[in-house]
Amino acid sequence: MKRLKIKRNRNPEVGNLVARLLDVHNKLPRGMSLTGNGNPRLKQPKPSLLPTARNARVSMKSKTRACTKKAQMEMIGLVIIVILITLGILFMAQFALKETPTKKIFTRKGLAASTMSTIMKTTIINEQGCHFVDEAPQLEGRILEDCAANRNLDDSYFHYNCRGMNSCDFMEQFIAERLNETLKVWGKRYEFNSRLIQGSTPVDLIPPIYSARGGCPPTKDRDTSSPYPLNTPSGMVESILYICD
Amino acid sequence: MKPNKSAQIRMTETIAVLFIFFVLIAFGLIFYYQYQKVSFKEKQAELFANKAMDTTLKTLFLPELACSKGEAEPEANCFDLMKLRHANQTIKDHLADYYFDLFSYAKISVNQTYPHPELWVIYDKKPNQLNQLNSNLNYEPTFFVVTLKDEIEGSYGFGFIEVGVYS
Repeated sequence: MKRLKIKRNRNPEVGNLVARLLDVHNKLPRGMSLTGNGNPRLKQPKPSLLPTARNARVSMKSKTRACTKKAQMEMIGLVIIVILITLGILFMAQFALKETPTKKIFTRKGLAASTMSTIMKTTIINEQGCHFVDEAPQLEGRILEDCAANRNLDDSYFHYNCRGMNSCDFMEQFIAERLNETLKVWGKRYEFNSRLIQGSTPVDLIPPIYSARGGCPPTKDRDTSSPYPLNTPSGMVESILYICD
Repeated sequence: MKPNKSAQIRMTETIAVLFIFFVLIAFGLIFYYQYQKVSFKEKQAELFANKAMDTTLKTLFLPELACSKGEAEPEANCFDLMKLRHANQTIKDHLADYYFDLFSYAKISVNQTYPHPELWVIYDKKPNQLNQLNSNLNYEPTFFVVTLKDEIEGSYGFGFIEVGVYS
């Protein structure tokens, strides 16, 4: 068999392949070739178109095809990862954009407003020590006015003396009782403030009333009755009730 | 022998990768299922709460209870004691033809705390099958503080309304 020699290709990979093929070809026994069984009757290709070179081209093609397939696989993998990340983000967004239940907002806000107006409207009955000569007074009426007018004076100056207390102390106790039998029972935290506005600086008419579990500072998620203003001869009394969970 | 071994390694690698992938998918599915279960329950509770809120609003503005005077605007958060004392009978008489469509399965009661404690249950309709079985009812109460006006004495009492819906 004729020993083959070929010029070294500039591409090192192709060159190496060609060299290896040549080596294999040269070691083949007589009558055998890389392309066929070596039948001398079969038309052999010209030395310029050696089978080794063709094989090298074929090998290159299959290698390129394998590379493309690998790239496609990687692309699919990336797409799957992107889909999974998108799903995760959507899932998280669902949690983040969840709205507070409407009922909670409505109930607490409505409750604060209704509690405030109801307390202020309540009529004080002729109980221990309260001897009303004429009709029974409402809390927002004469009791509050009496408290605002005489808050800095001695008890003897007050018009009403229910339960042996002046109007301010009675009002404080009465409001605390009403809040305790409703909001406290329902497990709500609350804070009640009543201020007298005379001039520019408001002063506390009664000390703030807090629930046993504490008040509702601005840092908490709280709802308000909105200020409940009442005009008295001594100035404007502004009361506010905060409710929180 | 060498290419065979290499192929086997590659096969094992592919199987391992696929196994991990399917395990992750399974975890994701389990997590999603659990989340959906909780989410469904939450949605159900929200719908239930909305129903309670609707019933409460209907009750608060019910002309059969509201404090009204002729054509004047009714007082907010106020129930007339005179109306309240007779509301139970009125509602009972027209339960099937009117009030059941309005309140469905619910319980409405008014509780006076000042000047003296008193309770009026004006509407109470439990789902029949649950009532018979005496099983646990899902009950969602909503409370509202109301003024109770006594037209005879011209005074305002302090109380609250409890509106609960059954499901």
